[in-house]
Amino acid sequence: MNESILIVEDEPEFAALLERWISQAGYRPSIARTGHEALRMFYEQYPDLLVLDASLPGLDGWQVIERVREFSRVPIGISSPTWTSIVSVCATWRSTSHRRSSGS
Amino acid sequence: MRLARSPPWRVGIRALRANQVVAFAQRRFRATSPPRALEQLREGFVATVSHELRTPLALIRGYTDTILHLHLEPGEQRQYLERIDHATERLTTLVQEILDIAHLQADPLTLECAPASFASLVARLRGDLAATGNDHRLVAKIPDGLPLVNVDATRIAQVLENLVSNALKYAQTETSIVIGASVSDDWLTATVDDEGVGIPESDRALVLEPFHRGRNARESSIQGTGLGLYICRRLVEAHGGKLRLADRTDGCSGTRVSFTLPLVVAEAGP
Repeated sequence: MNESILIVEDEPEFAALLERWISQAGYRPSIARTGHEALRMFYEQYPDLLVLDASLPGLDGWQVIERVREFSRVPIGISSPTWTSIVSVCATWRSTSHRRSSGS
Repeated sequence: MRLARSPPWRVGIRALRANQVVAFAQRRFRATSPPRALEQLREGFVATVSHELRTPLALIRGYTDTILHLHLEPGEQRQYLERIDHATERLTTLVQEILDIAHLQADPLTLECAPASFASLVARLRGDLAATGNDHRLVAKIPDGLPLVNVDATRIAQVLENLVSNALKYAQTETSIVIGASVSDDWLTATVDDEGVGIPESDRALVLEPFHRGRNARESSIQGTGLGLYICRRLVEAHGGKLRLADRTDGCSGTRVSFTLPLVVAEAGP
C-alpha cells in the first residue's frame, strides 16, 4: 500500500494543490485545516509523513510538532511561504524514503 | 530527522521581506506622518504583506508549476489558469492601492478640479460595471437638475467605484446598491446604500484608517486589504468634504456610506 502523507494547511487553495502533487507522485494525501484537526487525524491515521505550515490558526505548527514528537518519530516537513520550498520538502523526503526502502 | 525549532531559511525570508516593506513605508511616509502613524503603517504593511501579497504570488507560482510539470486534463488546465487570473487580480488591486496611498501622502495632493455632473459620474460607473455584468444591481436615485460639483472627476469616479465594488463584494448576490444625492448649502451629499454584512458601530472609525477591516469582514472569507475606505476618505477630504459610515436610514440591514462634495460656487457679479 502506498505511503500516506498528512498535509496541514489552512489555505484551501494550497492544500488542494499539494494534494494534487502528492497523489500524482503516487502517495495517499489527506488534509487537515487546523492544528487540532491535524492531531486528531494523526491519531486516527498514523501517516508516514507529516507536512505542515508553521503558522496555523489556533494550535500552530510548532505546537503540533511538540505534541506529535511526544510519541512518534514520524518524518515531518515544514512547508514554507513559497511554493517551491513546499515541493522540495516533499521531494527530499521521497528520495530518502526510496533509499531507505532499497536498504541503503 | 533532527528538528530545528526555527529553520534559518524561514527566518531569513521573513526578515528580508519585512525590512524591504518597512524601508518602502519609511521612504513614502517619513516626510508627512507623525511617528505613531508611521509605526501603524509599518505594522500594517508587514501584516498585509505576509498574507495579501505573499499568498497570491505563491498561488500563481504553484498553479504555474502544476500546469508546467503535471499531466493535466484540458479542463483542469483551464481551471488552474482561471485561478492564476484570480490571484493576479488580487495582486493588481493591492499594488494599485499601495500606489494610491503613496500618491495620497504627497504633500500637497494635486487635484485637477473642474465643474462636473454627479449624475454623469454615476452613469460612467454604470458603464464600467456593465463589463462585469453587475450594472443591473446599481440603482441611481439622483434628482434631476442637481447643480454641478467642483471636483477632480477621475478621483471622485475612483471613490464611487471603490465604494460600489465594496458594496458588491459584501452584499448578497442580486441585492441592489443604491446611489443617492441631495444638496444643502454649498455641498452635495452623495450616499451609497448596500444590503451587505454592515460595519459594526465600534469598528466604523477604525475602518477609515489604513489596513483596518471590520471584525465581521475579517472573520468572513471575503478578501480585502483594509485600504479601500481609507483611500476614499482621504480623496474626499482632499476636496474639503467628509466621508461617514452609518446604518441605512430605511431600516434595511447593510451600510450607508455618505460623502460630501463642494458645489461649483457662482462667481460674484460685477
